Amino acid sequence: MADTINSKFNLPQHDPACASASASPPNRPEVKQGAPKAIPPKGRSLSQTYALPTPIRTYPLPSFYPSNPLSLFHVVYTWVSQLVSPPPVEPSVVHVGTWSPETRSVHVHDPKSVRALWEQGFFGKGVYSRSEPNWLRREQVRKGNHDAHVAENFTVQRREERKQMKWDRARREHEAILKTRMEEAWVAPVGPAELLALPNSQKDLQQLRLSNGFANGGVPSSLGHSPVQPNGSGHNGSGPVVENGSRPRTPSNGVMASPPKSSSTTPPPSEPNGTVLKRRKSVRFSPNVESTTFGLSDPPSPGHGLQQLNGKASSSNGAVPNGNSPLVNGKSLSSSTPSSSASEEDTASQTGSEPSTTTNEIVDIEHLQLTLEETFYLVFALGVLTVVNPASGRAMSAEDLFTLFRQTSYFPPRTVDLQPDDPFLLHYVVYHHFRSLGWVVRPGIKFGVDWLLYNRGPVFAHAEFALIVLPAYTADEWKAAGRQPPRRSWHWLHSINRVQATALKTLVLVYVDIPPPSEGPLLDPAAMLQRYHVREFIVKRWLSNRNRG
Amino acid sequence: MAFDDDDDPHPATHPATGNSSNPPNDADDDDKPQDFRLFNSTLPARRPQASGRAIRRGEKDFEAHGTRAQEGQLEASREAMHDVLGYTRTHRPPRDHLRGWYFPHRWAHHAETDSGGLFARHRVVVLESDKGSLAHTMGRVVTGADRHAPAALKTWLLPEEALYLVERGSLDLWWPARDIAHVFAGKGEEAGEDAGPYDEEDVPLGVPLSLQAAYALLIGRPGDRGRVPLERYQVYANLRRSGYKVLRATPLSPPAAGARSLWEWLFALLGPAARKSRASPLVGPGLYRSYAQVYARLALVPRHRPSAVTELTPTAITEKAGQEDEEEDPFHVFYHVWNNSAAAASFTKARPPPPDFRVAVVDARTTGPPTLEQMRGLLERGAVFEVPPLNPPSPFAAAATTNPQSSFSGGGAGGGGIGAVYKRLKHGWRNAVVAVVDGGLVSYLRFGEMAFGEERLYERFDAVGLPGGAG
Repeated sequence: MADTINSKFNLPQHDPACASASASPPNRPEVKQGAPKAIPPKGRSLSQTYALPTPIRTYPLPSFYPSNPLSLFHVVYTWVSQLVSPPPVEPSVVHVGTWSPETRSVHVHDPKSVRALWEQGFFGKGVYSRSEPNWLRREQVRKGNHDAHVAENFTVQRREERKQMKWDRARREHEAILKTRMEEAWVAPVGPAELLALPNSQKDLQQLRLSNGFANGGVPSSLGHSPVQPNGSGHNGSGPVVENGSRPRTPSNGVMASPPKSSSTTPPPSEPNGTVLKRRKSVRFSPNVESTTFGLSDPPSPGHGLQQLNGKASSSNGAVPNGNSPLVNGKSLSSSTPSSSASEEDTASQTGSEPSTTTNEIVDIEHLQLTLEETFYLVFALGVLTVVNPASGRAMSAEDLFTLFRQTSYFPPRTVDLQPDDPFLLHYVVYHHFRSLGWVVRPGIKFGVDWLLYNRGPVFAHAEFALIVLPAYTADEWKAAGRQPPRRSWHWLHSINRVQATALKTLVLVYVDIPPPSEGPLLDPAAMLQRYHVREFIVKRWLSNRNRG
Repeated sequence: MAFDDDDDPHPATHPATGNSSNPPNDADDDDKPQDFRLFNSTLPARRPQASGRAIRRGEKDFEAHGTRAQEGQLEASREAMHDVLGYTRTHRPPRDHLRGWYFPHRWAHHAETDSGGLFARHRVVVLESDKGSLAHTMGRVVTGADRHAPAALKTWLLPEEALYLVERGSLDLWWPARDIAHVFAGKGEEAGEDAGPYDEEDVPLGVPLSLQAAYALLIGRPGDRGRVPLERYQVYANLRRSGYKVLRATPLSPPAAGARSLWEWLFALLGPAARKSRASPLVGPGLYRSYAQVYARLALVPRHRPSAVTELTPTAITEKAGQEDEEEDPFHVFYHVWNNSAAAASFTKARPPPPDFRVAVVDARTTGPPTLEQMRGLLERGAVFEVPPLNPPSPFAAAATTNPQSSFSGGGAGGGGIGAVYKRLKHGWRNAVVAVVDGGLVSYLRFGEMAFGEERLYERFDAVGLPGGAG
């Protein structure tokens, strides 16, 4: 999830999409390696915005350089000034969240808290956003009130550019093929039979064209000695040019198919006179000239396509998928029509903001949504969050939350028979383990794993490691009880591993050695967590033809 | 050492392919179709072959676009394939002719004298001569036996080696009709006068065996003496055909669980219990001078520290000590594999250098991904089987490739940028390759012991001059 956010920033060696987009320079967001200017508003750099790795602020004393005795005064001054007017006790701000039993998560509504929790350690997810809670800014950008850059818009833009790039590439390939075909098809009409076979008048030409079904369009193989697709022309109305449905050539097909002609073999020239004139000329003298006339199935140049589209737009409006057309320079058209390639959140936000379209002021209705593990880490480990029970309206203690989350991690929630391998406990141990080492841990469901590990955070770099959490029951007591970890297959592991390789991440199997239940139903989370052991193992494909040395 | 498919020697070429549906990572897979034209050029020329201009790999034409260039290319490729497949395979003339005899019980009661990887009990095929280069990496003369016993100084093959040679067409496997003394009576030590399969009275000594018979004799269930399980043979053949040298992994004598490791183990027992319970917010309200203080309070879950001595809990020792039957757990290193690196020249099969890779073989259908015990048995616990030695990532070798994106200049346990941290983590501390065999198809996975606890990322937080402090 968060990965797609930051793919626009830097790390070109990690992101093929980035590199491809750089091939098409126009409208590329200005991104530099050291100073990405995308997210932070008002000129704040990324590392300024996300300066704190965790919602705790430290007050380091300035370092003392023996070579510079004056620096001692600096140290003393800082120390004395902090003694006189001590900085606020950390954590200085305790955010307030609300437990939501329906969604089994904790909601934070205060916009300041939402920003703080996101910027200081990347906790939670904006409920209307992909990851960073930026629904309000996205809405403002959409209405033109704000010129900031929003991650989701970058994604849309990048997709457009990639589509354009693919389209250009397909066109170039196609032109190369066409050129080869032209060169091969050219036979000098020198023999008497060939000369006699040439059409003699325009009537002959039309008959010949009808008999050949026009499948070959502007290719001179309609002369009869067609080495090109001798039989495919009969039933293939769109001709040999359309080879692959997945190529972004669909708009031209759509245009060609949209006129209500009787059959698929009928010639669909839109300007019959001009075409016929050109055709006759070229056929008469040299087939090479023929190549300059465009068959209708040829992919037109973008400008040409735009003309055609505009011409057809009045007659068949719905037939042309504007948003998908790479011919239309997507910026103008897709902004006026609901773009089908826009992300899910965009459409959601559009429907959500309909009531407020009349007023200029947009009410921020987005809140931050914290998972159970994130909430418990913020409450229990850092103490920067208080969770309010909506039923009683009172704050819940860490022990209460511990029990509540363990119960909630089952479905349906169970109030008795809590085990040391509760899903919540299992995942929280891993979450705490990696958070306490300084990693930014975020859910990895979009990559088919349990957690993703970021260095510093998702806005800085891609996640490097993808974690799968597996329980392990090595204690004798578990063995006596016959407890086994869930059985997985090699196919399962391979499929996950292949996904990670595609996303340029490294799969890590994280085994949590679960203490036996006999050590008592401890309610103290700290004492409980100390009994779990976490082991990490890397998984990589090993290719025999790469390691031959 | 570059272990994986991801360690691409040419990382700069990756972003050039702008197609996310075609990840660059898998571009050089081994699942590719063969380029028969390359193959064709290696065959002995019977007639002028098709030109050797290689097809660009990795591109597929899904549809004919009607050009003669495409057809010509296709036709040339087809022709090359036809030539390759139509090539008549002949066995070499008798200069390299090898004949082996199947004597399954010759070494059945041979005691394993030294742990030199002899595996004499499993050697069931004796070669009449060991001419040729094949014997360089396979077969052993069984040492410690009576020198004057018949065929004592001959090369004896393990079942997978014999079967591989038979399947390769290099070995004639014979079933002896007479006992070993008769078979090797007239031959003497000099195998030069190859008299043929008849003794002095012109009685046939045996019958040649078919490939099917060789499979029937040499493939068995795990634990069978003198036989090899099918999937292990498949891995052996796959690695050999890929150009590796493969020997069976040597079981080790149980490592001395030193006093130090026992001490460590005792401390590990005492450690968590000795910790006192902590108050609810681990990071209590207060003034913090550095993030090291903050994260020291957050450290709660015990972290793994790799140790050179494989830690053996007492239960594990008693559990594993008497377990000579190897086949309870397939997750152990079964083959040692050497590639063609610089040490290849000095390779001797009797005293091989440390292997480049250690391979375990499992069946894809009857086993699953390893549990924690299996993983530790594979990588750490060497009671019966050999485990990979500790091969810690070098803290300095990796420092050259720092990530330029990272603004961290120092700090961390091993130093270097975040790229060096990633590299050290991915290198792992112990590594083993698991070959997952599914009906003859082999997929190799590398498993490595990691230690995230050795890379304390938070030490970097203080190294950067973070703005925002009061000072």
